[in-house]
Amino acid sequence: MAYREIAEVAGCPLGTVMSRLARGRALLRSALVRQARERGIVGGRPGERAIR
Amino acid sequence: MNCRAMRERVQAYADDELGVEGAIEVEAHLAGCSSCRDAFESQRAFRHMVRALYPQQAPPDLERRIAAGLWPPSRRWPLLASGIAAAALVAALVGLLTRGSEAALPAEVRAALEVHRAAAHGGAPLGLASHDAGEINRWLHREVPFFADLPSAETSGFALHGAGTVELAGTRAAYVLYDGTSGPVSLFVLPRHAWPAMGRQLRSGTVEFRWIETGGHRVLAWTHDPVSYLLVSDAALAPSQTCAVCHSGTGAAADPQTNILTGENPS
Repeated sequence: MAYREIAEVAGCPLGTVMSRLARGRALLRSALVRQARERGIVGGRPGERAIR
Repeated sequence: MNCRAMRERVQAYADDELGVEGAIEVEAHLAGCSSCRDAFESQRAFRHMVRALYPQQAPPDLERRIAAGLWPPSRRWPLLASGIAAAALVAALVGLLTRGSEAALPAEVRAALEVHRAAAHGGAPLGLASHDAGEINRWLHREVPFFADLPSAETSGFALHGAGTVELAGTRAAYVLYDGTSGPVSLFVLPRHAWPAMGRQLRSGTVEFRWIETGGHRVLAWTHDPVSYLLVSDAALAPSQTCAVCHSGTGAAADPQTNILTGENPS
């Protein structure tokens, strides 16, 4: 889906789509890192760059 | 533009959503800002990781369910509406992250792509080389029991090249090759049960289409009892041009009641 399509469907400005996608990605990333730590896939030190 | 605002634009840049001017602006900033460059590289690595680890596509009816909840927007339940809007964004995000992972496609579609790629290099599995729709129809009727006739009308910009039969993930399918201005176009006719649930969904009248673009190709799938169709073409070819394979001119695509292959109108 293109950003413009998302903006039309969700009824919000393009800039809002951009910032919400950025926030969504950050949340998804945090959730994945947390899960990876819980399963011992990556190290557990806070602040460690888990995904490069 | 400050770095905080630039971080959002960098994601849009990575999604190929900025125009030329926007892309130049982002590239200029990245060239002079190591912090944003690190963020960009990190995001890129994250996308690659997600694509590699989560090749599954979203459930096929998710987009339809979200769309059904969005139109018309609910005024009575603003929280629900905003929740659905958030779900739409998540679905879009999943779509952006998983875009391009061919491994997640249905096996029939992957097999069809392989046949099409072989055809593009002169290796089409043709059992009959012919430009004549009547001859191809007779041949395919003998080979596959479920085949529907090709249109006899002249197509627009495409020439029939031949036909064959192929196995797509264990399903026997009719194969028809067209020559187009943007390379070959492959049409596969399968039994109804082989209808692949994939990609984006579009409903036009009584016909449900699904389509994906991958590796420079577009795969368009639709079903019309008792058969399903897969059409593989160059992604640069406009979808309306693709329809011209089976319709005389692009206008016929506007009439979804018409049997897309036989030209018959059941209503």
